[in-house]
Amino acid sequence: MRIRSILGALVIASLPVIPAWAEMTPEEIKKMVDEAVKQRLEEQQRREGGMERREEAPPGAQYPVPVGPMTDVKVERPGEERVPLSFGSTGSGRLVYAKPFVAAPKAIVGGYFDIQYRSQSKGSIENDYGGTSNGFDQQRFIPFIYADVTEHVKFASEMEIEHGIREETGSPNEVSLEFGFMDYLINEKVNLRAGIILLPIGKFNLLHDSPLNDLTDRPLVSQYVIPSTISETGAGIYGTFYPGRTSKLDYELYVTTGPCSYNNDGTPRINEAGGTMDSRQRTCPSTDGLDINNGKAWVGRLAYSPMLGVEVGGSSYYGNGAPNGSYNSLSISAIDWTFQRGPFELIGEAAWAYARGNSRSISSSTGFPVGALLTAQPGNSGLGIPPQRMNGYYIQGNYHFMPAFLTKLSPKRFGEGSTLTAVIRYDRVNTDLDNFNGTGGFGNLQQISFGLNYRPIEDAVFKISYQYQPMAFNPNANSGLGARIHDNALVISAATYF
Amino acid sequence: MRIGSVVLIIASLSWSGCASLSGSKDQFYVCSYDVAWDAAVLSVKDRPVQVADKDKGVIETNWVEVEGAERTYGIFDREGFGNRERTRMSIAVKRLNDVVSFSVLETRQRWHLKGGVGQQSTRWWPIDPSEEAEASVTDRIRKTINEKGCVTT
Repeated sequence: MRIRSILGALVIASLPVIPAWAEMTPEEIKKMVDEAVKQRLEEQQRREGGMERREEAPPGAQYPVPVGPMTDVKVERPGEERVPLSFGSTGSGRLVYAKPFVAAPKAIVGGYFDIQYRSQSKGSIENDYGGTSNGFDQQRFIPFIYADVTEHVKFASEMEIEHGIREETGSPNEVSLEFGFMDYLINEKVNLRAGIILLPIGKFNLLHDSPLNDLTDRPLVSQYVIPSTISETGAGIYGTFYPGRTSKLDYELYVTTGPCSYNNDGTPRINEAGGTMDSRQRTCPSTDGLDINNGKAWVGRLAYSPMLGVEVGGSSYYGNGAPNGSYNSLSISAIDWTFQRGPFELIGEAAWAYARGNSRSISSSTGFPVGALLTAQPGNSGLGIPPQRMNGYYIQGNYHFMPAFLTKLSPKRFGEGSTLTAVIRYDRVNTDLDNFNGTGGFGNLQQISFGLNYRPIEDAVFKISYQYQPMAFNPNANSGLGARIHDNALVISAATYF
Repeated sequence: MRIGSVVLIIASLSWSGCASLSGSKDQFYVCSYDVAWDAAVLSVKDRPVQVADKDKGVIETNWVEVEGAERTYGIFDREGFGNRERTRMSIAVKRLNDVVSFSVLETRQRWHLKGGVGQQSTRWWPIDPSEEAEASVTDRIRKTINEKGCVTT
């Protein structure tokens, strides 16, 4: 009130002497003074508010610093924000930010990471250095980007960095684009996809992320017969049908770059020790990423789910793996199954591969006449004849549980959303069904795994497992050609999406 | 042949699974088929009906998108792929002399169930049906049927 009186006096004093005052009524003069006082009071309040805000403002930058819409970057001159991004766009170095996913964020950046410690009874881990029996390995660091470009256009990609970034070349240490594709969604029955595509051979290749899997190591059949992770450049269609009240039919069909089954000198890349691993284009000596012949590969998977929790899938891959002038196809067929009932799961897959003509020479540069039986080829046991036929399978049982006493002990760590899983898996694979030399071949493997893992949340997992390998292969054995061994291993790992 | 044995086991498990995991709950009423059919149609009037075949006794609604339970993504609990779910209701009406049976089943799916962005992840994944949604439809049928003077067996 006191302030108002003072201001009133000041206002009256500051009001210009207007001759018209003489003609104004006392009410009009009072009204004019009140309005002027009110105006001054509001100005004063604004000033004081501003001072308070300045006093409250932090002395330095606070993190995280709020980021405004990046469209501002383009607004260097009025009206420019309305110019669509194209070669007609102008700007300084900041143009690098003028990307749709920055201007209108629809992209998700994330990934997954894993780390493992492995201890084996035999020194069979580190190849080329005589072998070690235990060690750490940061096997996969996988950033991904996913974008809803429009309602009907989607983009997904995954970069793969394996074992850290290593300088040595020619080894399986990888930095590569595991997949990167664009989808055009037409309807649920038919959709288009093009790019580097995860090949739908079996189910594991499609769902291979470390945090998803309940054991650290991938199934043997998904390493040697189906060379997971296998992805190739191509295009195709996928979709879903609903043939019944509870049933569902999913399909995927793609045509892609074909396999790379031969080296430059015509020697086969498919062998007992690695199975079909080296037939992937990503490991091919061809450096331009293109096919080594004019043929393409076809791959498709059909999965039928009669009801929730049950799915059986069948898939097949076929392509010419030989350089132009030869036709030696690689075909892989697989079936996979998933049964879920309450806390129980039974999953697995079986696969068969046939590398036509893989045991015979396709070129005289191999040192053998064309058509002659190849011998002494690296990676093959006995006479060293490369294999043509291989197969394998795995069966895995999972049981999800959470003891009440743990939840009671620590509801935050073992409460809702967390789970323990007991796992048992049987693996069997033989990468040379043509091998009759009595050694069983380098790729004649058998493994039983017992595991227990803890998921504090669904997207993160800590795993421990014991592997018993009644039939294993030691690449570091003194013979130089490896040896059949009985091995066992303790594997501890962690993996998480981020 | 071991692989053959594996295939056999899977086939038998799949077969028995079909018999044991149907999921729907049947209800029986002493009622005329016409009254029962009308009650079934009325029970899903708030959904777009895709199939309504009175001779076969099948009603199937189209997908309806709904907001699902909130789920964050990764260890940082980020909002990643949303909480989209969609549901579809199917009702089978069967007649046996003076008795009719209703079987109500919801099919529910979630966009991006779990994991990263593999080409299998960003699609609709089947999840457990909502018991509340199924009960709601069942209750509507029961209410309509009872109003028409039909009784539960």
